[in-house]
Amino acid sequence: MAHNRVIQWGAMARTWWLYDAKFQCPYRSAEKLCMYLEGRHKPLYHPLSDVGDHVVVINTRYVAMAEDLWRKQQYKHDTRYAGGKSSATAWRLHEADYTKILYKAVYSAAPKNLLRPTIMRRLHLYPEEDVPDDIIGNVSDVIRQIQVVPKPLDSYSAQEIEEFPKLFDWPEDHVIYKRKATTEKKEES
Amino acid sequence: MAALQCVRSLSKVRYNVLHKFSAAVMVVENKSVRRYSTSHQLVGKSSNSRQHLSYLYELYHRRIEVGPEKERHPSEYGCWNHDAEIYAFGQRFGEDFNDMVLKEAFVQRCFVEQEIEKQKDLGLDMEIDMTDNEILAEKGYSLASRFIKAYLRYSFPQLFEEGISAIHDFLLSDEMLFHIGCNIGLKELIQSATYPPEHPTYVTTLKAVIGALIESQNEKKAEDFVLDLIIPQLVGIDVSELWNIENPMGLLCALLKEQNLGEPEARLLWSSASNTIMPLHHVGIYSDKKLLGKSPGETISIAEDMAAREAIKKLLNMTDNRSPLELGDKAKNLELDFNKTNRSVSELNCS
Amino acid sequence: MVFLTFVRNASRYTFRGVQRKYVETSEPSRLMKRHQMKRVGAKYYGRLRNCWIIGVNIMNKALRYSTRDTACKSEKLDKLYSTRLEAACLEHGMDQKYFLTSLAEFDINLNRESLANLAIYEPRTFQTLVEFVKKRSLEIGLQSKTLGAPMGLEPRGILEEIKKASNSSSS
Repeated sequence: MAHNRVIQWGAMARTWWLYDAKFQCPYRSAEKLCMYLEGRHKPLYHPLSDVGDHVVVINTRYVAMAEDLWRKQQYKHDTRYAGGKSSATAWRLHEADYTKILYKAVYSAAPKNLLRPTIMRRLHLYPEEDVPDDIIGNVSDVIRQIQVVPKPLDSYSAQEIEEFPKLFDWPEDHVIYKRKATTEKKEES
Repeated sequence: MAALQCVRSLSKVRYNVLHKFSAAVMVVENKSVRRYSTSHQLVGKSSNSRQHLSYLYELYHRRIEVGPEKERHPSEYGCWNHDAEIYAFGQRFGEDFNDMVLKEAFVQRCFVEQEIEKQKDLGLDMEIDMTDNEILAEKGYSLASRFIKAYLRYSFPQLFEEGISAIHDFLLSDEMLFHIGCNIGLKELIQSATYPPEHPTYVTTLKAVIGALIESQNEKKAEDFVLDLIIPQLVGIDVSELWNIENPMGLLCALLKEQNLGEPEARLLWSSASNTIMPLHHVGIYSDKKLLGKSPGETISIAEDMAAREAIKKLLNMTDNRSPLELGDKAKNLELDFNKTNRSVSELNCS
Repeated sequence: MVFLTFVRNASRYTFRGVQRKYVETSEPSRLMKRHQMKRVGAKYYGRLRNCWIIGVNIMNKALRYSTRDTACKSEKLDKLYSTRLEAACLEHGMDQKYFLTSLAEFDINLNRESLANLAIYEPRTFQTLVEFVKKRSLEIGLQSKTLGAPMGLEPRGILEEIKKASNSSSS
């Protein structure tokens, strides 16, 4: 008795997803996150009904921007008072608030209608990996990252670098131009 | 002269229109008549559309005040041959009914009593040659009940007797029989004291029609009638939901013990939104490390309960992907065992 | 102007002539026409609804809008079915375009609408269709299209790590 009722409950329940934003493009991630927030990943989706899921995003501090967008991307704000216009580059905005870039990216990717505030309230952004217990306790699944996370050169040990297969080695008398480190310059000046 | 003609034609129009709605005006109380006393002057007074419109408004509101017309039997309109209609009813099902017996199936007890009283009022001492349909209904019901139980036992051989009787009660409930009776055109044929007939009269009449088929032909034909009309009501209905199992976990334990399987073990498969007011838990029931059934639920205990029901469904071969019921021509020559009964839950617990 | 035709034809019968009979005329009665337009204007508020001269333009515009928008209703529905089908395919790690072309190749003539409805109301039936396409593409040798993992099967390493960390910090 009433088994169909719980199946209905299961179909309409909101799932909580986790997304790791480490080394991910915020704009392309936002498109994917919006799919989950709007509920476009469910076959029963309808643009007027509120069937979206919750998404918890961690590591928003370490989002990656293509090319030199950190310097070139402008975020504008207007207070609607005289002289109230202001703009900030992406890196400045990111310094002020580590979740702001991804928030704005999702906000602009979300549908421009009255459901947008509701959708945004279901997005939980955290700059680091420490998420409150009552939030992380709800999460049941993970959204796949859109980019492969690169392994930085620092993380390779000296032995690994040595063992890396080489096609050829430079002759001993070959001079390679090395740019001096900036810290050394400062010390000199 | 022309003026006189005009006045005559005016009065003619007024008379015609008022005659049409005289019944309506009569029913309205004196107050309302006074309220509308000026309105009849509008009738046919001129061809001005504004005045015509207000006249139409007037009629509209009067109609609302009087209310809808009483529902009448077609015979009151004058064109009704009861014998021919009853013959047509039998022919619609492709059955050869005995006309006299079928006619009897539609006569209610209240109708017979009403006829006797009518005769008394007229001062006649003639005996009325009329019998009501109660005996036929009893006959029909017992056949339908016996056949449906045998059919269900054949279709769900492993289901417990409690489940069989739950489905049987659903099929022969008053609401279901009323629903069937409504849709095979019993309404005009039923002879009862009131029209439209009351709900219970549909039920007894449908049973009596089955009884009449036994009388006119044989039991096999009546069983086919039940097979074609009553049993297809199960199509599209979740049969396992009709039987409410009180203690599913206990029943599952007993079933597994009987089949020499391990005790059921409930495990939380996954849960989401567990700290919110709308949590979702998926619980699976395992026995000997094999998944028997799983189900979602808003709390873990509800999900466990539902998963146990799913497991029972699987053990009784009642899963959703079972083959469909045998209906129509395929089911005409089933070898039904009318004496067989499935085991009941109490038997299982004793052993 | 689909809707205006019913308003125009609302009442073609008026009292005309010396004999005071209903006569069919080419033009409907002016008042009847206004009366019928009340249905259109019922949703408005105040004088927009009660005064003819104020409300008539906006009512006509509303009828024109509704005529225009019925034309693109089917387009919108097609878009919705496409979105739903994409979601349904994603659940099984299948590409929608590849799924539809494969079904067409194997003479399974189901359109987007019926497939999307199957995915909602008969998910198991839809799943069998997807599995059929996957098996067929394996037989042909086009495996790359079926390699997508079904939704919900992403590696959950990070989630377990974070949950462990939060448990250890709280205890």
